[in-house]
Amino acid sequence: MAEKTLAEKLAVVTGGTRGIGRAVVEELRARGADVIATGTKAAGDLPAGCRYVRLVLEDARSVETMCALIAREAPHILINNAGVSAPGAIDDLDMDEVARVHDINLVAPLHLCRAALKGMTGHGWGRIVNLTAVSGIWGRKGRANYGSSKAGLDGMTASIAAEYGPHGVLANCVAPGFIETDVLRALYSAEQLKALADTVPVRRLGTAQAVAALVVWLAGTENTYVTAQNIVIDGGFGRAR
Amino acid sequence: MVDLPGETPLAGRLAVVTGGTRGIGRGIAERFLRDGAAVIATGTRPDGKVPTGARFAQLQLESDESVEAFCRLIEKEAPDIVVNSAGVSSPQTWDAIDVATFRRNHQINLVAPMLICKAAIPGMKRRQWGRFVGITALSGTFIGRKTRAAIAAAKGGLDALHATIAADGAQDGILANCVAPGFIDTDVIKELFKPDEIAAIAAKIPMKRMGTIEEIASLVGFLCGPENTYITGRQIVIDGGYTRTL
Amino acid sequence: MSKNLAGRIAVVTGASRGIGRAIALRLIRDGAEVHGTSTGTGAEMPEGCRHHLARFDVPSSLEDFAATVAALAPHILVNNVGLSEPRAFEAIDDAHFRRLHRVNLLAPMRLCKAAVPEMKRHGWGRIVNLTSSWAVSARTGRAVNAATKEGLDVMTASVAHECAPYGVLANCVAPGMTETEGLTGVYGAEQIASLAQSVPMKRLCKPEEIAVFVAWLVGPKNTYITGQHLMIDGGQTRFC
Repeated sequence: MAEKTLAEKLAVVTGGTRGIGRAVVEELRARGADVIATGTKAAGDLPAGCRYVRLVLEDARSVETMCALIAREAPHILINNAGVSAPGAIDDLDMDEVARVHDINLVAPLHLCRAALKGMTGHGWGRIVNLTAVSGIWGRKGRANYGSSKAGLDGMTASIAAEYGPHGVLANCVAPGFIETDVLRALYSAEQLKALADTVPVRRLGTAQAVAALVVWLAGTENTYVTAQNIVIDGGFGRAR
Repeated sequence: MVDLPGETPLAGRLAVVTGGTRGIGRGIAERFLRDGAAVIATGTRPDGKVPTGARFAQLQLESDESVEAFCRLIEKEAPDIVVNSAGVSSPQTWDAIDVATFRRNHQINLVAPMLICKAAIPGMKRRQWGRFVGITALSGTFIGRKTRAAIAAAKGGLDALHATIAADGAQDGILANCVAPGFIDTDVIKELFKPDEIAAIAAKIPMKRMGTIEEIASLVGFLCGPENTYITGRQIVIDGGYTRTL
Repeated sequence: MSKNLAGRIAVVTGASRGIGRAIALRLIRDGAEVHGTSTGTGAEMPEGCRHHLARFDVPSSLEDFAATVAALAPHILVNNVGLSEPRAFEAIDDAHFRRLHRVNLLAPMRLCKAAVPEMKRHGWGRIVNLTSSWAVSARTGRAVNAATKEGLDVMTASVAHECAPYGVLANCVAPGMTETEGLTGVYGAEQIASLAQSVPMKRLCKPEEIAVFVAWLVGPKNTYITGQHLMIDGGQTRFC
């Protein structure tokens, strides 16, 4: 049984119904936090005791409503996990699609952070963790659009860390490599997943639980000095060649 | 590529290049000669063949006496440019790593270059102009590679050393940088890898080929030349995009 | 002086002043046919630089210029235009973010998209995107700059990966604090002197010093550096 280190803390997690976000929600609950988690559907399945809120990140009005809710509830912890990947070669990028991806991955988190920082400053304590990606650090074929949105999120987060450090707010990013989620299983066949795993130094894909453990540690009370970082969790894929 | 006559941006400069008898070091020495510099190039054997026009000096980086003698030569000659290119890789798995090999690697890749840089600094300060370039390696940047503990640690150190020289020398007209070559088409790489292994390496590189010695020399020539007046304390990776992409 | 860019067509955004002007002048001197943009009439362009009006914060103007770039089929593209408007994080509104995001990130991406197909067909192309030292070190009031410039860096590395097999190299150059009207307009002489003291070389960068490096990167001597983020900052970002 995990220690309830986050009792009395309220956390907001975007995209909390599945994959990494769901694992983050479960870990936060296990640590005793109250959790508001979002999904794009009218109703979402969440672990017991969580509040579900519908949030569509490409819809400015939906983001605005969420910001109002955040301003009201003043969470101590904000996890911007929801995002969208959209591979496409530079020659035939659709600029409307670029705008959509950047709205979801960069602009919406910006607004949610702004809404949350007021409350965090009031508490004199706050933790922001934004989920980026290895393609937001290293260049990848077909990832000009997605990678630049995630790199942008990292730049923004580091700047928040600089600005809100004096108010007890720590802001970091976590950049997962290949994580075994429904999304990945939908994109690749079992055989392709096996081949993908073979390119990773530890010879397997990551688990959502492992990412969640890192995210929640960064968002928790034990972390008191790590800020402005983009921590890669990828089984060595990016750096060990 | 042949430059037009009269393009000798390094005329009047003296450059020292360690490891100038073959590979990348030799290419850099040739480049400096073409750019009009006088060149002292080193090799480990007493009868080392350096490019025509360069002066040969024997230098064994693992020997304290040899390094000391070379440093005295540097103090006397007071070069404008120092390129530490000579180096050694001693791949070992972690269960095989022995202290003697690791230390020897450090002596050659880091301690000796440090002494050589130190010997050159007073002359550069007097003239208020100097350029250092350290040739590092991908494994000394942010990339981890199997069995490369010794060279990675030493080359990472060489980079930090040049950054420190850059900080200390910034107000004396001294610029110090490192160049980290990727997989370069040299005799050494042909000795280390079989042709099919080289093809497999090239396939992983975005540009689908290894780099050439001339390409490294060209970048080093720019960094040491009169046109570079503000890049300092940096390590520039030249690898056809390999380490920056996934 | 060798005209080592003779026969090359280059596009430089924001060529009327500062770093862009220095780059345009340098590429012209090296023999390139240079097309530069400004938001003015063109009278302010450096001598020998062809003028195109483009406002990258206006979507239709960006689209128009992207069409021009596609038609010019340049061998060299230098995305130099960028906005730097420091602002406290809580004061960043949607309009402010979107304007900087459009100019600093979407516009360079759009122009890369326009230029890449012909570069691939030439089998030769050079892209240099200008970022800033803000892309690598976080500072108070610089969230939008950091977000857009870091995004630009990774976008460039992705383009480098995609286009490397076609002889197209793409890099970012991050100038440190540079003596431009942009800087002298914002800071007084005393502030600039104290900024210079924070640089190991104890002086700011000159636009020409950026230009020579950009010219080298887009010239025939660079054939293997791609996907990199190259700082030219007098040693500043490497030290605390």
